[in-house]
Amino acid sequence: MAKNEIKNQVRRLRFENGEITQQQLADKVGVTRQTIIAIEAGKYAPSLPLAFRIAQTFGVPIEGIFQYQDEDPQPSATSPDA
Amino acid sequence: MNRLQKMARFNLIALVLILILSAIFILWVVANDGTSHIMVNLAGLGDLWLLFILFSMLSSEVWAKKKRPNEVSFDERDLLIQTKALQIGTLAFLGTLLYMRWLIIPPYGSVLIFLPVLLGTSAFIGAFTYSTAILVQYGWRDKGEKS
Repeated sequence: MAKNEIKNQVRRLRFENGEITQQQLADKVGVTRQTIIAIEAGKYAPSLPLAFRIAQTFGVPIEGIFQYQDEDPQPSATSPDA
Repeated sequence: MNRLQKMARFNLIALVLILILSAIFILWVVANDGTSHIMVNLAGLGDLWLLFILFSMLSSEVWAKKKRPNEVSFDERDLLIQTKALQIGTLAFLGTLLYMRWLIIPPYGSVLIFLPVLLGTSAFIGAFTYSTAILVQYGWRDKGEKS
C-alpha cells in the first residue's frame, strides 16, 4: 500500500503573519488549539472546508499551505508510447 | 486537555472505582448473606451504575463550560475521534454480550448469569473501551506545545 503524506506550512505561515499564536489561529478558523497542533505536526489531515478556512486566513491558495506527497506514486495510466 | 479527554479520563476513573466497589459489595454479600438475596443485591449494583451515569452527565455539563466566549471546545477532529471510539466501544459491548451469551446458552453453557449482570458487564466493557479509545487516539498525555 502506498504511503501518503500531507505536508503543510501552517507553522511557517503563522510566524510570517505577525507571529500569531496557535490559539489565535484556532479561534479564527473555528477549531481547538489541539487540532492546530495536530495539523502542524502532520498527525491530522484537515477536512477540505477547514483547509480552505486556513488558506483564507493567511490569504494564500490552499496548495500554498498543504502539499500532497505520494511516496509510492502509481504508474501513469497513459503510456508514453501511446 | 479538552472536554472529551477530561470526560474520558473521568469515566475511566469512575469505572475502575465502580469495579472495586462492586467487588467489595459482592464479597460482603457472599460473606454475610450468601447468595439467597442475589437479586436484591444486584439491584444495589444497578444503583452504582445509575450513580455513574448521573456523575457522567453532571461532569459533561461542568466541562462543557467555556473559558472564553468565542472558544471552540469541540471540532471536526474531536467528532472523528468520538465516532471511532463509539464504534470500538459498541463492538466491545456486543462482543462481550455475545461471548457471555455463548457461556450461558445450552448445550455448551454451564455458567448461571443473570440478565442484569450480563448487560451490566457488557456495558462496563463497552464504556471502558470507549473511554480508553478516546484517550489512546488523543495520546495518553497532552503533548500540546506552547506557541
